[in-house]
Amino acid sequence: MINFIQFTLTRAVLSIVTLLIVCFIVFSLMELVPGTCAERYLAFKNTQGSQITYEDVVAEEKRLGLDKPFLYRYTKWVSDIVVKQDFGDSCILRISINELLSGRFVLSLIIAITALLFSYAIAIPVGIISATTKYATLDNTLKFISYLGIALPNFLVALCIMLFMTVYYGDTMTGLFSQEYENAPWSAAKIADFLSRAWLPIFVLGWNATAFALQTVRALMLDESDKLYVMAARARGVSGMSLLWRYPAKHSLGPVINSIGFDLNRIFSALPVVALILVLTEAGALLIEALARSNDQQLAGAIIFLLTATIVFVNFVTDIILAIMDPRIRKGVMGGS
Amino acid sequence: MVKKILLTLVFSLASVVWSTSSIAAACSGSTMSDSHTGGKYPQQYELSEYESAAGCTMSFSENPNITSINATIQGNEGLASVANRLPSEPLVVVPYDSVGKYGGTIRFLSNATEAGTSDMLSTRHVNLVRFADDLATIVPNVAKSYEWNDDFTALTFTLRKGHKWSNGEPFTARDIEFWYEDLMMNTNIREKPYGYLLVGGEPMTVDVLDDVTARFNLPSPMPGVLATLATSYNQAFMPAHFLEQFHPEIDSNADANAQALGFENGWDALAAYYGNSGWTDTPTPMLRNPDLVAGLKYAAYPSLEAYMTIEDTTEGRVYAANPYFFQVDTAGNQLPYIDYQNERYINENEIRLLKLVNGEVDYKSQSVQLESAPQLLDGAEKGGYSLQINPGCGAALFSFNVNHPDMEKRSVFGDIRFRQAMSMAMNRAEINDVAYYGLGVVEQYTGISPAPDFISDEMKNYMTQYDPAAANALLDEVGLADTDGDGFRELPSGAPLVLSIDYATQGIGGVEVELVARHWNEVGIKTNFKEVTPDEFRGSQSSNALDVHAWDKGHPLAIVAGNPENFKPPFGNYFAHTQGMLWAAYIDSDGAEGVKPPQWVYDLSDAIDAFQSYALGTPESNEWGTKMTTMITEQSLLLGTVKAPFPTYHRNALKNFAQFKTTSYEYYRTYPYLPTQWYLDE
Amino acid sequence: MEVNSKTKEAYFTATQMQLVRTRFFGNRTAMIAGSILLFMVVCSLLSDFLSPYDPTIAGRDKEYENGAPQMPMFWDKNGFSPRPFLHTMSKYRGADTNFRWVYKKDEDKRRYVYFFVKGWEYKSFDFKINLPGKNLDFKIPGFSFDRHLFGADKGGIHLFGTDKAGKDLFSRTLSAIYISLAVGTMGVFISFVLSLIIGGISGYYGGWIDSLLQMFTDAIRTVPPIPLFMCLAAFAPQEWSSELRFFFISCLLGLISWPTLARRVRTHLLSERSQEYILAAQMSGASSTHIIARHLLPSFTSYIIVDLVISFPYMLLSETALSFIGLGLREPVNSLGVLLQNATKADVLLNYQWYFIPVFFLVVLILSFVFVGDGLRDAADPHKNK
Repeated sequence: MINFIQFTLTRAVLSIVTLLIVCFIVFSLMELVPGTCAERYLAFKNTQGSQITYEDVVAEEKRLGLDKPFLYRYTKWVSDIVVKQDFGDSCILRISINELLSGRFVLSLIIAITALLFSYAIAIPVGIISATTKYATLDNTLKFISYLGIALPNFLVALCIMLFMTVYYGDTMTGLFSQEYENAPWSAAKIADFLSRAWLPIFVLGWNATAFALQTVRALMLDESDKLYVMAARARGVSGMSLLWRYPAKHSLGPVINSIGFDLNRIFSALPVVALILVLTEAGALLIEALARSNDQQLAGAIIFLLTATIVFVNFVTDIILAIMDPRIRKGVMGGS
Repeated sequence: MVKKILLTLVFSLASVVWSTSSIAAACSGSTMSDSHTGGKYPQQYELSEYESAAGCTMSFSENPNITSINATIQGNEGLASVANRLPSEPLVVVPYDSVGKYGGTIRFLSNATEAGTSDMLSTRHVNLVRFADDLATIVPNVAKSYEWNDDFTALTFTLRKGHKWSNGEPFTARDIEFWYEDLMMNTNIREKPYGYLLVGGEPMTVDVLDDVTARFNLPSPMPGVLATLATSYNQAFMPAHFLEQFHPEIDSNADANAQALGFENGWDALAAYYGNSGWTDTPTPMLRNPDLVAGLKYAAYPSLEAYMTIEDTTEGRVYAANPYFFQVDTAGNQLPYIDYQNERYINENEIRLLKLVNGEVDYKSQSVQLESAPQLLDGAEKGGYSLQINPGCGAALFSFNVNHPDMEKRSVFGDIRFRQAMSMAMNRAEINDVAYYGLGVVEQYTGISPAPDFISDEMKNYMTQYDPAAANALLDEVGLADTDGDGFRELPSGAPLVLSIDYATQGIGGVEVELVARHWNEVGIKTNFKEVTPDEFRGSQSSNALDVHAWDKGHPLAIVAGNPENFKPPFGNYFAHTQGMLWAAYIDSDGAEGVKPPQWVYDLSDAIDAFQSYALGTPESNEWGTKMTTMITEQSLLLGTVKAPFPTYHRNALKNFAQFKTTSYEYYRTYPYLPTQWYLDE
Repeated sequence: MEVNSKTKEAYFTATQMQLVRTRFFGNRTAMIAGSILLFMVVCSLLSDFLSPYDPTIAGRDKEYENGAPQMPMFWDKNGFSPRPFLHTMSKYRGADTNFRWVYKKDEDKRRYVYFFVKGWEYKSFDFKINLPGKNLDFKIPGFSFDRHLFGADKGGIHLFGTDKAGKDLFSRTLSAIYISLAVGTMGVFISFVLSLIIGGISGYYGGWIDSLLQMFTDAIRTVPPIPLFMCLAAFAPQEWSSELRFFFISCLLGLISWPTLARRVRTHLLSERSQEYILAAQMSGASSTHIIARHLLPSFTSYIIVDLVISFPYMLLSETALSFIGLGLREPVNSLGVLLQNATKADVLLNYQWYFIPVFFLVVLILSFVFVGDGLRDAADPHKNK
């Protein structure tokens, strides 16, 4: 038991260190990209009619606090988060990031988790069927449909579906809410409105994620099914669904649980591009804006911090669950020799 | 006694005559297609001017919804009658097609809170003066009149009596002084003032002569200041009566006043309202400090514009008509006609196009590219909109780095025959055909675009002919021969010559670069090209690392009159197409660093200074204009290709929409075309 | 059940590679996918020979911009012809066509298709490496050819249509497949090697080495690829050509994607290393390297293969997504991502649908990789019943 607590604590500490490392990497990488946020903002203004000199850029940077050295800004940012839970102000949108992200990040999480659940809900049964079926055609067809989810680029699918809706239903389907519900408080009607629009990104992302999960499940099922203990169970007379469920499936779940955190990460990576196309008011689209367009360090750092924290937390939880579930891993991790 | 009766009789007779004459016809509203199309200035009148021209007495009417509109503006109390809300001397504007109907909400698209917004901002913008739609005449707007002194060192504006801010408080000359001296020149607001507000690098001063008269005092003559005020997005006045209480240098209680409302200090409160920028799309407290808004008197600072911000979120903004707006139409209806403006943000070009095709937007021209024209034209009938294709100001240019770090390349690029050869090697007709649907105009860069009358056709077509034979001959003359027989020319020393064009699609289209590289390859100059981000391009350009600069450029007369930067090294500001960085360094450091420019650069610099000291349109001005543009064209430093047109989109239900002369931001987009008289007719 | 004794003998004496090969060939789906993949690879290697036109702007067809695909035919209203031919097109554009090119077919004018024609010149096996400093430049002149598989007289033959500037999409697609394949290989290779090393060490030794390496792996794995990619791409020197730059970037992609496989390797090793056969090997005095290489690694070859083959298309897809945002390859480079970017426009979806043909190739390429990966996994699995 002591060992187990030790293990848990170790994992917790490692998680936090991972979080800090990731944020540092991102923050410093953004530092190295040419063109600070101030410059990009003014560059855009220049195309609108300002006549800007380099001194204006310098003045703007001073106003935004970008002229201070990198380490100072980074440590101030981290300490603000830890002490005040304040992510600072967005450089390009000029408003408090806490305000900006509070609702949106939750929405991103909802979409991502739903997509993930959707993908597992399909991948696990389909993977099991695919691994154990005798009909090669069925196996191949199922595989083909789900692999199409990887092969077709998700933003293309989103654009096609949206175009289809525009042409045939006259509605461009952008945004997570229609304009009336945007700032309204949550209610049953708002949820219905949300679902009527969120199904598209969930479907696109879920289809994408299904293929990866399917691969894993199928491979594991096949591996486990041929192991001796399964053969032994079959010899003992266990068959059908209970054979499937009690033996190989349970042990295949281990690696699947292992990869939940990273499947979620993969979905989060795919989310921004889809969100950009569908003009979703959530954190993923903001992230692309902040990274690719405006080089807004604070905003990007904040979103990545939240994202990383989520994934690190999920990994932590799955590690604990695995250690509880699978004695081999527990022994291997805490053993040493 | 008899005297008294006689006097009374005369008096009553006089008043009868008077009252009869004042029961003359009320003004019925003429338009640009009628006979009264402008008084002293085109398309507008002063009240008395119109009444005498049309022989009528104007009575004012207002938007029937104005009370409910007013209720949406935080801080506005009850409304007085329309005659008391308008100045006693309102501006009478002549509508293009018809007197409009009140009502409706006009819909716009922008990229983000402060990006892609100038389209929409221009529809409610006001300033002391503006350019009329001929883009040549400067007419008064907020100001009633303006006057220069003899040597262009004092510009006096007379304002309108009874002109009120959007909250009903009086607008006076003090508001202009406050804007310039207490905001624009204050280092806490802006560390360095905007270059265009200085004259020769020195600040102006503003004198308040009385409530309706303000005078700008210039340190040196600069007639272009007027043009700058007419085209700038920066409104030359701010509500002193409201903002003074937060200004620590004016009000000793400023910090306390600010803190009582929840701000950190006076500067913070000013920044929250004003945004410390001349642009009017900075976030209002509704977006920036939403938790404080309920406790504030005003959610956004009072303004003179046609519309006031009433809602500000990260998805969009909503604006309501200003009940105290100072313009009326020729029938006495207070403008604007349209009740509300609704602006949404969409940052993806494809999605914006879809919305345009679907007819979900009422007007858009910024960020609509020519290459989308066929798609927009296809859907025009079904979507109920029209597309205008108008010339712009900027066009794609190429220039060779005459200060190249490699000395041999520097001497080759510095040779005028090389530049002329490369200009003649470009097949501009092909570029026009492939990249711009054949709709562009082949034109050389002459320094001013659109080219005014004093630039001859010969200059406009200088070296634009497609003549590869002549180009090859000139290149041979320069000494670039093909010594190793690989089909490409080498430098005079024998080293290989490879040009690299780094371009960003924000500044020039990829197809054009591809074609030009092809053309140059065909005359034996090996040219590669590569797409980079705009920031990378800017960084490389300013660190003098590129062979070829490719970016658009072009400013109209109004801008050139007020700003000399396009005629002095580096021939553009930090974000523009520049050339001659080392020449600029030499001039700025008085010879300590950089490279000494050739004599023509100094001559050109003198020419632009001379040009700017005369008012536009005078013979001296035209003479100097011709001199300086000929100089810059003949030097072939900046090579123009094709001037492409730009589309402007508007829904057919939006009436009184004029035919734009140019689609560009330099005259501030819709501002010359009186967007306040637009109305919706579904 | 009667089994031929000869077959049985062959089975028991065959090497592992032979077994794998036999099983793979027996899997029909994998064979189909494999042959499609092979065909595409060969075509892409011969892309210059197969393309009637230069895929860059030099090969543009001025008379046929944004033109629809042309299929050679053998028979029209004027009769049959053993040699395939096309009709002549004339172009027109104006305000009435909304500035789109429209083409009128002249059914009486035929243009014949010829084979092994002389066309634009291309080089093979030429290398040019420009390193900093003039002495390190390295140049092999290579061979120069100008024969192409087919071409048409008096006009163009565009099997997949043309794009806005008149570039032949068939040629561009072939060239794009080659570039995408060539570049993906490098990334996958780097990723593979790294994950084996790091995952192997981590899983075998366990304990604090494992924790340390895992923390490192997790950190890399959690970093979202977009900012990492963006910033690392900024390090590429400006003088590099676009292709070289993308090569560098795909190496980066490889560096970013090794953690996934590494973690799987490590997990599997952690559970396997306490098995009896490992213990037996250790007790026999085998070194750690020997145990890892000879015993542990082969036990999860299936995972490796699946991940390897799946990561290849993921590399391609990352490139397309990044190009879409504007961070990956851009014109004038021909890659599937660039061609996809051109196709992702509403206007194209409605009017120039042939821009999607390269997308179809992308999908087919990815699917074949995935099915081949599945087939290899099935074939290499030592536990699977015949």
